[in-house]
Amino acid sequence: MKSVLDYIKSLISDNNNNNYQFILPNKENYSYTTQPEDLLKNKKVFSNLDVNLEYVNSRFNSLLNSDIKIREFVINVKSKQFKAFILYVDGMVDKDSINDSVLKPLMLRNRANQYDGNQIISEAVANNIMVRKIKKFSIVDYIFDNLLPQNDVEKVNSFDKISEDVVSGNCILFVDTVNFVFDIDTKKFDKRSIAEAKNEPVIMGSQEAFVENLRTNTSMIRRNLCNENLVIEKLTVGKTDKNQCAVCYLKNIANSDLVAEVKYRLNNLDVEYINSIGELQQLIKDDIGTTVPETISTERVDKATAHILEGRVVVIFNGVPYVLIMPVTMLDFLSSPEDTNINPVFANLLKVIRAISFFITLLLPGLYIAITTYHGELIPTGLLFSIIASRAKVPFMVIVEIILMEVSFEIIREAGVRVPSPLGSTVGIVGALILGQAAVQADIVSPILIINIAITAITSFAIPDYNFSFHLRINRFLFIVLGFLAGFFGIAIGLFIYLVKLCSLKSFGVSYLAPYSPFTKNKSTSYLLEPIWKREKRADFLATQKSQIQNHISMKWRKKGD
Amino acid sequence: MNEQKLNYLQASFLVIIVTVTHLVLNLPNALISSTGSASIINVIYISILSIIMFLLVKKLLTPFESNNILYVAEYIGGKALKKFLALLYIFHFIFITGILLRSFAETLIFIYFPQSSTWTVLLSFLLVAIIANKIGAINIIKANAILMVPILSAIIITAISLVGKFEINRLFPIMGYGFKETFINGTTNIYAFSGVVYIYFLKPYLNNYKDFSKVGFISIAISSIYLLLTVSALLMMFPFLTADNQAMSVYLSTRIIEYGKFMQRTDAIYMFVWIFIFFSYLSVILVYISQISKESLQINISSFFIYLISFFIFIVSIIPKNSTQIRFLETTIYKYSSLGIVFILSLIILLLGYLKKRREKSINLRKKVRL
Repeated sequence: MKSVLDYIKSLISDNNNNNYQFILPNKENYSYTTQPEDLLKNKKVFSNLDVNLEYVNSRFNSLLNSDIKIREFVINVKSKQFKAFILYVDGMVDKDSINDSVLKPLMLRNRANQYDGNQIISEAVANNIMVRKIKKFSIVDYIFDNLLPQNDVEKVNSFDKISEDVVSGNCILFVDTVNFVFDIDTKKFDKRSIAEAKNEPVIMGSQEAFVENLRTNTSMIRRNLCNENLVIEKLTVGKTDKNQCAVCYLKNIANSDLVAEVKYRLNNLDVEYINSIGELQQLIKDDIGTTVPETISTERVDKATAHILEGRVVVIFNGVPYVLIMPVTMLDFLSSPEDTNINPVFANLLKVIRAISFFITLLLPGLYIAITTYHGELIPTGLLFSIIASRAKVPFMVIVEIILMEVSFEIIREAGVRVPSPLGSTVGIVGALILGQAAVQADIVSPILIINIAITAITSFAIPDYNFSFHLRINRFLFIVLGFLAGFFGIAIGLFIYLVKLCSLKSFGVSYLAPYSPFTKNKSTSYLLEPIWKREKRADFLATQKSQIQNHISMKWRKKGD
Repeated sequence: MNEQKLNYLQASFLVIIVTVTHLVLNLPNALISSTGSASIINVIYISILSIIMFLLVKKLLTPFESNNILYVAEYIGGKALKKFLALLYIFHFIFITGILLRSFAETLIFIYFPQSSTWTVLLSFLLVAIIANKIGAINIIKANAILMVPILSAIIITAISLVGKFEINRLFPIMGYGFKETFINGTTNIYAFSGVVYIYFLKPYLNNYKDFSKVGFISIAISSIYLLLTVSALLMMFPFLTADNQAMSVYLSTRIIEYGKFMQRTDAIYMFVWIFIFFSYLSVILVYISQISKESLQINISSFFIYLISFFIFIVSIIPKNSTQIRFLETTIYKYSSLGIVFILSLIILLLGYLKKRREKSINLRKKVRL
């Protein structure tokens, strides 16, 4: 303890020293394994309040931090007085709650803290003598039981835990002679209110989207999924920025190995900080050598809830309005929450269109280049002549032309995303229409190629998942090169290797091409939707604890006449 | 489910891919040229023979439960016979694959890449198979199972698209070159089912070895149907086909398929599908060779081993000097080597194993009775 005090004193004296010396330590001689702040780690609460105060001052840099508040006061308990202080972060707490539920009951004289009697545990009369069992007075129990009218109070003795909770908005009460603290939940800060899903809109479904606050997000899931088996486990990720995330699953449905695996991966991330769900997505991925996403990120509450009900696991990350769903298969990236909201016939039409869009997005420019270069006989002679004529004045090779247009389109798309939203449509119009038209008139590109690129671009927007669409966009360039080098032969090379690679992928132990590879007979999970009354089973590749979703006859009302 | 083991569909498709590869090359051609207008009857006849042969194989392998032919060889002749048989099979596979690869590559060069050198196309094929094997054997098997759907559909579509061009008269005379050519000499055409050879090795790799008979029947039935479909389509389309035709006969048939005014030449699309067949076939063969080597020669399957086998296939594929030599190797040599190794030697080994097992069983039984 002495060494800690000495260190704290030295820190304070350094702070008061105005001789500013900014000298970088010599990298070779400097040990990164023992940072000065490491000395402050893994410490327990001291029973001496002054030591605690100095330690807190040092650990939270309270002399520098304007929002770290320490309020010292005296507690009245049974006519005795104890020194105490509270610690909180201004702007993250509910000040009224602190005043009403912490400071007032502790500081002001009232019936509770003035009561000087003993607490009787039991009373018995024997031989006309009354025997009373009286509870031994304990300041801790007394404060906890009588003086903190708050619904969420915890006794904590680790400074690491205290740090974590203070920065999350809790108020910490330190009392003299007590070697632990009262960790009181007083969180309240400004946050964005629940809004509509902007990036995953649906027509007939719920419009609610996640927000940045973890607790709001968990409450939305809890509200949507009314079942006591829903478990929301809180974990901390990151060492410097201890961000919180929550693992949500149905205890009686999700595969326990899957849940354990998700928690294992999250608990074994040796990183200083994680800024976004995208970073987390990359850190818990099975196969790091591919651009294929292996978890789905969604902002839709209904989508997350539906996946939990299927037996999957959802991870919520504090500070991000998206959650991660795992495990996933490739077919999940071609499905939309809208599919289950509409008639399965309509949904299947949309699904087929999305599947076509998948192939067009990936292959159309490559096929165009292959056909025009190697397999001209495939298209009618008239059309072939028209393509050749339209390209007659274009000075570039077809591959240069196509890559030029693809890159231009990607630039327009990127610019459209980055510019302030009122200008977004202008960028689109100027980029796509005016420049496209001008490029054709200037004979830089052929009109048929513009049609080709435009179709490819539009179909890429039909892919519901942003990450998966991005993956297809990147791989499209590969197929352009292969198509140019060897026509259909080149594209077949690319597709075969792509297919074998897809077969090798796994998302949390689930084959990426399930339920088709390995093939399963469960029709409820096939790409095309069955009518709702036929979707009787959960996906067998998830190996859920309960496979049945509904009985063989779910519409029992039809049996009414029997 | 054990992901490293195969389900019965994946295993069946491993056998079918071999037959399908021969189908799109010159196998139908060779069958038609040997039996003439009786090819359909001959195909039905050899299909029945294959089923009988499979029943026999099944019966002979029954006492060995989940073991394959290599185990049987070891059982009757020790490790030496096992190694000899494994090497024989490996050489057979390398030889056949090399020749088929060259045949297909020549067709591809002839049609699309007249400017390219043969070795470039050959190496491209082998490179794909190497990459696929590096990704993983089980992934190739999974990919093969997925590819089977478009591949088999494409062959059916080809046959349906050609229906309008069929001449029923070409089926006559129904007995072709006569009874002897169709049923006696025609028996040797059973080599068309030489893909069955892979069934000998599959048993230990099945999820449930009892699915063995399912795998055998499915693969022989589907192979028979497709063989029948292709042979009858070609027979009814072309007045005269010989084994010496320079281009693949199925390719010739796709050249005359038209779908309205927009798609008047669709052969490139079919060729696109066949390229997949060949990639899958090559990759699967490398998997087989690796597994046999690992099982019998205790060779650690490393990247180097895959390169080495690919190199041998490449060497074999560049041996033929011209198309005539390729056709000769693809039809005559392949026919007799398949008959010798797949249908005679393998059956003898299985039979000897079966007899030894029975003898052992009866000796044990007698000992028990005496006790």
